[in-house]
Amino acid sequence: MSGGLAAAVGGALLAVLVVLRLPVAAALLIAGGLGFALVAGVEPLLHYLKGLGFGRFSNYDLISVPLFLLMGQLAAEGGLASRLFEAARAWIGHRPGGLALASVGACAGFGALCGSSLATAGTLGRVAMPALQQAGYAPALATGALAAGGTLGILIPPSIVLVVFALVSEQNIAKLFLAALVPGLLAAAGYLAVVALWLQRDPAAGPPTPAPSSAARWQASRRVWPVLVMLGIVLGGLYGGVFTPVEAAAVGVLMSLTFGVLLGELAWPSIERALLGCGATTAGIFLILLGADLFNAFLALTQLPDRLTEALATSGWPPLLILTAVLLGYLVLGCVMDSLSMVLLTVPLIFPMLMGLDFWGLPPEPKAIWLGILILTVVEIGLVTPPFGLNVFIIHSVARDVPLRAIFAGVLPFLVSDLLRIALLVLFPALSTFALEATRT
Amino acid sequence: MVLLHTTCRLLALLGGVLLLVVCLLIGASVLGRWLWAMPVAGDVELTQMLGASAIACALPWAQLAGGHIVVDAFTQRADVAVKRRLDALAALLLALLSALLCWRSLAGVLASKASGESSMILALPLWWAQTPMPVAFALLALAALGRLASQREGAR
Repeated sequence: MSGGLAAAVGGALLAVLVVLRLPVAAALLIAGGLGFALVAGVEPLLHYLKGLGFGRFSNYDLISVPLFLLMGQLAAEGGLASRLFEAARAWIGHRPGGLALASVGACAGFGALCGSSLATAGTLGRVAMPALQQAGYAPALATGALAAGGTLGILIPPSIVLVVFALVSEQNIAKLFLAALVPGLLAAAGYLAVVALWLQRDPAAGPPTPAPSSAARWQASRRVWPVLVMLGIVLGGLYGGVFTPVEAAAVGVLMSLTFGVLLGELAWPSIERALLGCGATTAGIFLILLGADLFNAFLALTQLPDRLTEALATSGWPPLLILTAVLLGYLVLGCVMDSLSMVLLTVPLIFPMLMGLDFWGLPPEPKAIWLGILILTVVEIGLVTPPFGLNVFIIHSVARDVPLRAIFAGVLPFLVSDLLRIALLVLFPALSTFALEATRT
Repeated sequence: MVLLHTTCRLLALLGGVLLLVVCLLIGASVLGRWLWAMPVAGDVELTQMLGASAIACALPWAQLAGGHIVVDAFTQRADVAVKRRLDALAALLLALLSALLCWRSLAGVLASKASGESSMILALPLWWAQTPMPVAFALLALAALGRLASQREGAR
């Protein structure tokens, strides 16, 4: 069988298996394994499988995935998210719409401690939703702000999706984290602006509440110190080049554990919950990584990625048109798939293809980093788009009385800010790449 | 079934504790490098070996705690009986795949042991860090089969 045909058959099989509710990991292993055997033979496949598990799991950079997950889980169990929210609330919560602004702000802060959007949405949803409901906020605004704010967990580094992107595209994780910082803050600023505009059009959506006394205000601010210390050391060390991402994650785990225990917020049951939660998520991710490895080995054997890259580079189509089509494709795919599987399934094929094109005359490394940030941004939108935005489901689980339809409607204005941000990031690559230039000199 | 659940849970906890050990090791190394310009020797390879073991330990737990990522967008409106059949098929295939990976990773461990493969700096034999792999896949296969069995009971 020719390479191109084999790749098409393998891809079709993969799609069918995924649609039939097979775990994504199993679908990848089956399609990749059969394809590999078809192209290279059974004997080489069996040989390849011998080292597959250990080879993948012992990748040094990848250890940061479970560590960042554990850091986020421990920070959430240890009440750090609620301290952040309470402090933000003490300063701006009493103003019109202030609680929604405080929620987005706390999501941004927690996003810097946590590499996962679902964990950020879940944790802040539990913390902030009761306060928003009690203050009589419009359900659409309250849930929309939290569901959109949750995506800051991934958009603001550390970010599990970026670690995986770095692995698949063979880019430097630390540089990707650095490049993602400004776009992440831009996302937070966009969401804050959406809340402000919403309040302008409908002041009743976020009624003001009584201002706290200045004593209460200072007490809430003082309680936020562990978060500030962690942000300072973990992120300062990471961006200052003192730590590798793995080291930053490990130090973050130790600090959130120590703070939690010393402050009396973490006892064994919650530590156990954090360890088991981290284990389940980690295992799910690494099984997919294993499957993606096999499938990509098969794809490489068919030489399809090389041929596609070549065909597109010589097609004469405008690169920006191709890029727009790819980004739109991700938006559509994001409606039915989670961001991590999407990155693992598509990046091995899409990334070399895009790298073969010329964008704004960017040299290879900044181009790769820029593409990574763009892909991260579009796959994250899938978390809040109907019909299967996972963040929306998570917020729905903490605000049962708000129908899903109302939450999706509430997310809509935030989606507009997302789309505007993508356009900005596409048109001005410097937003993603200038951090690299700044550190080089 | 209860025994299987407990075993998988304990193994996942062991994996979590191993991760904490990795953190302590890295923390000590970072501190040593900072204070005395002396990191822990072989910290990277120890992290790799312990980290790989920790991740392997969590694999069977994914099956029981629902950690698998599934795309259910296309089958959400399908009949309950159809969904149940598809889930049974998924569990069966997953069990077969895990059994295959268990067999191959066991072969990998034996090959590594036979050839005396060892780490670069500390010269630790690598096979012990690979041993959790076949164990985890065996348990994962059992967990998937257990899911299949409990589903059949539920269907009756």
